[in-house]
Amino acid sequence: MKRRAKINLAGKYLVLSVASLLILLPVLWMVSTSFKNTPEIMNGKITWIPQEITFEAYLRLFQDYPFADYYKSTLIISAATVLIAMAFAILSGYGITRFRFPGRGAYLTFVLVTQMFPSIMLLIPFYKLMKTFHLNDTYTGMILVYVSHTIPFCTWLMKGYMESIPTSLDESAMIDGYSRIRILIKIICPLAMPGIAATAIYSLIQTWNEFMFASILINKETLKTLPVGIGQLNGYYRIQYNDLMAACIISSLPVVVIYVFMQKYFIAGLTAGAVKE
Amino acid sequence: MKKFVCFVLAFALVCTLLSFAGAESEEKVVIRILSSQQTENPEGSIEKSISDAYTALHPNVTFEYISAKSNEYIKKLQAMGTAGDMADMFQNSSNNLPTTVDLDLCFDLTGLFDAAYLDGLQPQMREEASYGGELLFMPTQSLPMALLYRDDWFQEEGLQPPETWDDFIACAQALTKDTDGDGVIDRYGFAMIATKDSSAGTRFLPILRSFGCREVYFEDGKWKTEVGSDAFKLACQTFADLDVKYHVVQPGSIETSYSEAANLLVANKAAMMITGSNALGTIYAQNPDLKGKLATCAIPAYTTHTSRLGTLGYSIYKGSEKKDVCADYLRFFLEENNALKWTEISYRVPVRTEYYGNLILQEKDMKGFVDGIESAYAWPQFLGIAKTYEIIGSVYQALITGSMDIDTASEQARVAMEELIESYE
Amino acid sequence: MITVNKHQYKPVLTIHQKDRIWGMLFVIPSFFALVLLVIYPMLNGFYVSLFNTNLVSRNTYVGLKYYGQLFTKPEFGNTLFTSLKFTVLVVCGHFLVGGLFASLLNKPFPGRSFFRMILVLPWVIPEVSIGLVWKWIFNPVYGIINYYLLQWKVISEPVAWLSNPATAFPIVVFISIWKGFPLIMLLISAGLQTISQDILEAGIIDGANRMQSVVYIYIPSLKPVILSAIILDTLWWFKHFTLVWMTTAGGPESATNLVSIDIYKTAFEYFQYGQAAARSVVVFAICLIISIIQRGGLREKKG
Repeated sequence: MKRRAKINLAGKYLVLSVASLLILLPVLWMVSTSFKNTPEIMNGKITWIPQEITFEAYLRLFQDYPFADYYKSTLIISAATVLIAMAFAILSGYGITRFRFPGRGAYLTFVLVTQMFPSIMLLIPFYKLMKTFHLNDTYTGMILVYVSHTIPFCTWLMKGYMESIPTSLDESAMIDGYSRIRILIKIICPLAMPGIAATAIYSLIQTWNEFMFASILINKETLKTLPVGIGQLNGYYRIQYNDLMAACIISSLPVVVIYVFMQKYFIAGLTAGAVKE
Repeated sequence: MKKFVCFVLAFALVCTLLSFAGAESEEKVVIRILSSQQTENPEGSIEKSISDAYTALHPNVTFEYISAKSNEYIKKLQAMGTAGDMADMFQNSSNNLPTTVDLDLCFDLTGLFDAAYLDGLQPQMREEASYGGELLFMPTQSLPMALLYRDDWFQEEGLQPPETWDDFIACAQALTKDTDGDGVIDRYGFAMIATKDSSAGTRFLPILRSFGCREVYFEDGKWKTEVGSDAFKLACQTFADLDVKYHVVQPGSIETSYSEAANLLVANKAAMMITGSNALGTIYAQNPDLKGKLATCAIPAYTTHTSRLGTLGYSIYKGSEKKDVCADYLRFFLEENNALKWTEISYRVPVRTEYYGNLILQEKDMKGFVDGIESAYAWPQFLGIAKTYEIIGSVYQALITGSMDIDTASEQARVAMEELIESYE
Repeated sequence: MITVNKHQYKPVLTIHQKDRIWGMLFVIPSFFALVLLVIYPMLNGFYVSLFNTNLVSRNTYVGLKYYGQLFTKPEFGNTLFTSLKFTVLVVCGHFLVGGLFASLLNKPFPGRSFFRMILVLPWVIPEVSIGLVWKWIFNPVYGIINYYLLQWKVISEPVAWLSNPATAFPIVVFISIWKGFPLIMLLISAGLQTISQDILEAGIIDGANRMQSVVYIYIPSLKPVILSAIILDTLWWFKHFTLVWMTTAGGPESATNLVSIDIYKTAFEYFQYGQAAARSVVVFAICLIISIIQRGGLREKKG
């Protein structure tokens, strides 16, 4: 029995190592390339450890390209989007699971339906909307766009999560004279914290990496987000692989750090949200 | 966690408020320019240096660039046009002109410049910037196409620049080699671009013309096509044969984009490439050792030598209220020292004939491009040109992958072209 | 972690008038945000599909002509078929790979959180970068794949992976699975953690072997998770654009020509905005049908 367990564990490590290799192959190649100089990339030889490790690509990002600005606007837009989308999703999650009202089921379907139209065709109408409301080239405009992108999945996730919190807690709190809002903030939210964290990281990743809408809706250089900056590095005339890879890395790093930091919450959170329809 | 959230919330609010606060003072003129050059290096900085120089002379005029990379450019143009949010000036080209005409964005520049000034423009380039007798963008530079080749390798092998496609195949065969003797070919005669987008289309259509086949042409008030003719079949077959029969091109021509093909020359892995003059800038920037080793000649001929001018320039938006300032800036942009910056740094051919005495244009790496002006044909002002790339591209791709024979593929393309022409009527 | 008590799902406290208003008040902010931002663009899409238009100057009413064209010519059907094939393979891939790793990572063992971090990386990296890196890795001249395969003498000359319809499609599917499985892995591993230990132990006492416990315990308990994740995953990948656009742009020939790529080209390269909108409406309808079928399956299981 013990031997079998050992074999099992060895098999597990084998499979996981092969998979990790497949995942790390492109990732490490990105890392390695970002530390190379241009001639070394162009000579066509495969070297995993650069012959001469250089940080010039990273320096160029902040000296030749406005990556500091891109960072700032990505941070602002993502942070605000996550907060607003989460607030809305928590409210509607609570509303849907705690009250019976006409159109409850229809609303959930409606949320799903908004995900069905090819987003490429929404680009120009979105631009027009932004212009009409004088929101073009503002953080507010971009935040609203991303809020509308992330609300649907967040709502579904929060609804599932709230469902798993026993309603008896609400009832006893009401007997104690708590208001609805107070119940949500003081009782439900702390209990739902793992789910909130999980949903938040989902919306963070979506917003942080969104390219298509950002590239069309933002005109001002200082307002552009990281994915747009990365896209611009991939020039029509010339691809500077080292700059490009360095940009990918500095752009992904914060999200990886946040994920690691929240990993424990995240796994536990998705659980309850996903299980129930 | 709570503290973190509070902090982020506060930060976001402050920044959102700040974004409303950036009001501009009134006396100044701000010219908004939509440009795809801005995202390229070094083109973006040349463009910027010229507008900065203008601001130095006229401190009340400043420029705000809206940059969109080439792939996103048309989307941006369409979005801004639809929303009535167009920039005062926007980059235009012979390739994009029909689109901007369709979107009705360009102002006729004829009235803003005196006739004598406009006569100083190279006539074909002026024609490429005109539509229905109106000058819809001010040409600022052009990128004529030619065959770029490794002169040093040609001399090593005792080869002459190819005149015909047969010569070309012979040269390519002589230059395709296994240089390190490991049994695998590592140097290719020709860096071929056989995708079916504009990067391949703008190169293949001149080849097609060199076989005497016109993809689309305007005659008797309507668009017609010669796709499907014997010349068409021969051109596609010859092109595909470079890969499948003669094996003188790099593996994966179907997936090779322009920048990847240029990288093959940079890395000493390919000997020839059909390209516009700006490729020199791209290649030298990444491998300065190649200076002096590259030369250019006309695209090989079957019936005739051809080239594509690829004229670029700026349009002034119809609805702009700053047309005069824009026109003055364009005049400044075309002054000798500014226009020649593009030639010196980025290997563009100037549009004003008075600058053609410039010595750079006589060098062996530029000469083929400049000579291309003579043999260039008028680029068809056909709105469906991008679909044409796709239809014709499907033919040579089918031949390369071997999924269809030339007659079937060519017939399919003919039908598709006719439907296409009909759909744009 | 919160333990779930099956008897307490009922979303009803007390039903009276006040509750209705309260419930609606809670939902209104997100409803409003969605109506404001998504409904107009969507309705605009339906409307535009009836016109030959570039949205600015060209504007001719053509009625249902473009819908007719879609169904009389084989091209669009082929694109839809490619997209469906792509979606089925990618979504199945996500669930197989995601499910496998979720189960491997279910029980604690040394190195578990390390692997869990590695396996989630593809989800975190922007799609634009992933497309570029993979294209580079498969590059016939510079790519790592060809370099090693040549060195190990698996192939004798460089292979152009993305230029051959027979290899390009599977590679694009592979990259899409690579990118998307972590989310599914997280959802399933979350689901696995909620399966009550009691049920599993009861199964073992009853003498269930491994295979039986998978079939009778794991799959039924996970079905709700799987089904709700399937709906959104299918919707997202049926409309997928970026990765395929970056790697093959729909080629070679039309081997990877997904419907979103077709729509993109029609709108922004051929300037037939009305035609593109008509295609989008068809895609919308297909998504709607798929989700109705999937939700139907879900309800059936519940009942």
